[in-house]
Amino acid sequence: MQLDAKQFKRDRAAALENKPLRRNLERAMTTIRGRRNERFSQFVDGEALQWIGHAIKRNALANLPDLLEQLEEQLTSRGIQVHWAETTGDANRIVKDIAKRRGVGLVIKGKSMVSEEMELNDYLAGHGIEALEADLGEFIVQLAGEPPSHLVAPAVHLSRQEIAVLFHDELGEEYTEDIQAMTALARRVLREKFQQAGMGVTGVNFAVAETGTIALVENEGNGRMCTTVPPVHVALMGIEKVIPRLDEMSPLIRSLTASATGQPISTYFNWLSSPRRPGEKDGPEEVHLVILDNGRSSIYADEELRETLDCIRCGACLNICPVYSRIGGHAYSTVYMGPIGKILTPQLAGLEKGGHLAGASTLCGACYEVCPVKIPIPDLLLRLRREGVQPTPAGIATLKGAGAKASLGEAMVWKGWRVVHNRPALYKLMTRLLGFAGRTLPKRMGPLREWSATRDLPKAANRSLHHLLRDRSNAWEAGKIRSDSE
Amino acid sequence: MAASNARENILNRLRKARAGLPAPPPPDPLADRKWLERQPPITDPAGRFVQEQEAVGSQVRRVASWEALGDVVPPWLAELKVSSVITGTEPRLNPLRERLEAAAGLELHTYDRPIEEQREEVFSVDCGITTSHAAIADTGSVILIPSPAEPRLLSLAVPVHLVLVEAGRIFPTLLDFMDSGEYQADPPTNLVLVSGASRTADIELTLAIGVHGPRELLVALIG
Ligand code: SF4
Repeated sequence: MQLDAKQFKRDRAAALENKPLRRNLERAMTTIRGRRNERFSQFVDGEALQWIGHAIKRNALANLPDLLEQLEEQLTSRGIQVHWAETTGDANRIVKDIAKRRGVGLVIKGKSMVSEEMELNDYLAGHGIEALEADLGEFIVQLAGEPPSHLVAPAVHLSRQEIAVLFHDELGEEYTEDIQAMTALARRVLREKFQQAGMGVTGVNFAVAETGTIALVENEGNGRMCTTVPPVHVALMGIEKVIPRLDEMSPLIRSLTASATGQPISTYFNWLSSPRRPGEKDGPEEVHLVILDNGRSSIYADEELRETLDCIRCGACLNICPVYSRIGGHAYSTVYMGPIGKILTPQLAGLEKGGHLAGASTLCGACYEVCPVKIPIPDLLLRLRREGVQPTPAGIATLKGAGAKASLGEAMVWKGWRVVHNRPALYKLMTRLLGFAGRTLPKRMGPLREWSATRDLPKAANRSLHHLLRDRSNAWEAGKIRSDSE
Repeated sequence: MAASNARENILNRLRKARAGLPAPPPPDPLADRKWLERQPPITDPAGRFVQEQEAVGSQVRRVASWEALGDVVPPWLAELKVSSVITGTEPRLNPLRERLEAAAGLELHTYDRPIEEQREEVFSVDCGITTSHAAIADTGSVILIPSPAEPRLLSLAVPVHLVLVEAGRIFPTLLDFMDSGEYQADPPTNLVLVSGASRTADIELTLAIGVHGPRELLVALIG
């Protein structure tokens, strides 16, 4: 995936012109938003639930290093092997080494955004190990050779007809557009694979420090399969997934599923705490947890930006976003898309590569409204925009590529703006000139060309509001008009 | 070697970053409890459990007692054209197993050896029957804690899962179960909350049942 501003501009323009994509997305986003809203409307004070989630995550992060150690101690005491990875390269090597040691040729995967971040499938393929996605949506996009376009519904950009063609072409099965039949087909194909796979790989939704519990939220049963059938289970998580106590999962799971799909709870909520014990007849012989940093500890160092790490990946901010719901997930060219992607990616990849994403927002605030952990996404977008042109001293140490977007031209414009606004006489002259220029400047050329290509240029008035008011008050004093209250 | 460095590096970075910053006030540990108390009360946990399970398409039948299972289960399975059943070695199921054994057209299997020796059998049976640890009313969830007597795949590899739930073991909410401390006392290898049959909405957000787990969840509510 290529991450740069020009590419993003091209891709989003193409997405906007892509009629089938727009149709698929609009239908899906309307449905999924409706489900979320319906569930929240059944709560007495759903917003209070969001603030509970916020407080839990804030507290968990404040104690992050201690919680990670406690988690490790608990897991290790029951035989789960814990690995720490500073980079995605480290994490990939850890997974590959386990696979090689166990002679694994086929890995079966549950949904994991961290594995997308690692580009694990490609890495393993390079070492002769096949990785197969088992979540239906991930299975579909893997067949299509695409990355997921949504955090929760990876194939949401595709219509059933497109998927039907894909299944027909790639799996050599009889063509059907029947969704139940396509699901049954995937079940049949993957059943075999679960039994052949030497390793199951999954993500982690919550890791509970006090009990040493790895919790997995899912509807399909692929998570259960991946963590039960293959002899080895490897769970992947970012450092931010740990929470102190078991009972904190109660409000978090309620909020997560309500926000993601509108369900009261997911069909399966798995709690895992050890490999197969003596006497037990199934379950993996080995369980590993890989804890990935990959830039998160730098984000952590900035008190404001740290809130990015509160995210529980529910996807609600994508569904509500006027930008995401029109262009979909692929145009961003990022692992994490939509509003959360716009704040997370520039911090993980550096502002010089991902800084343009922070600009692609209307700052309408809808994402903040729906976020189950109340991440102030609009504030963080503004912060990142600011960091792009003018790093704040506190941010210098932490934010990769701060100041990368600073340009001489832009700096001059703002300097000029400041000068003009501090001198009344200059300001007056400016507004007069603008009124004149607005009528005479060519619109399809010069600096305005790009902006006005898709928009109507507002007409600058002949006389400024300032002037009009002055005339009015002069007239009023002269007794020509009377105010209403008299 | 590299791995242990990574651990120290990450923890050191986090500790250093945290040092200068004020700790936020710890959250109110009773916040979720207080929030739940503001929701409409759950006066009849069993009734609510049934309602939530049915809302996600599960079949629920009420059974007077463990002894009465033998009268209810075989005809139920026959209605669904189940021709083979598997259970673990849980002693409470022995009376039911006798009745299943006697039922016409029903093959009875036992999951009593490691999966490595029984894989084909476990993955080819129509229906698995298990007990449950408890249940939750407001989310309509069954709590399974698989054990040597009732392994994990009994409720997963089969197209139909019949689960036995005791009405007296229904907690109003997940928080009530967590507050009981039953899990924390000795975390089991695996606990899973099951709220309906396996499902997906990955194609056009349209519900499809039976992706990787059971297509049908049957709940016998005892008592
Ligand atoms: S930022 Fe909030 S709304 Fe968006 S995915 Fe994360 S938790 Fe959900």
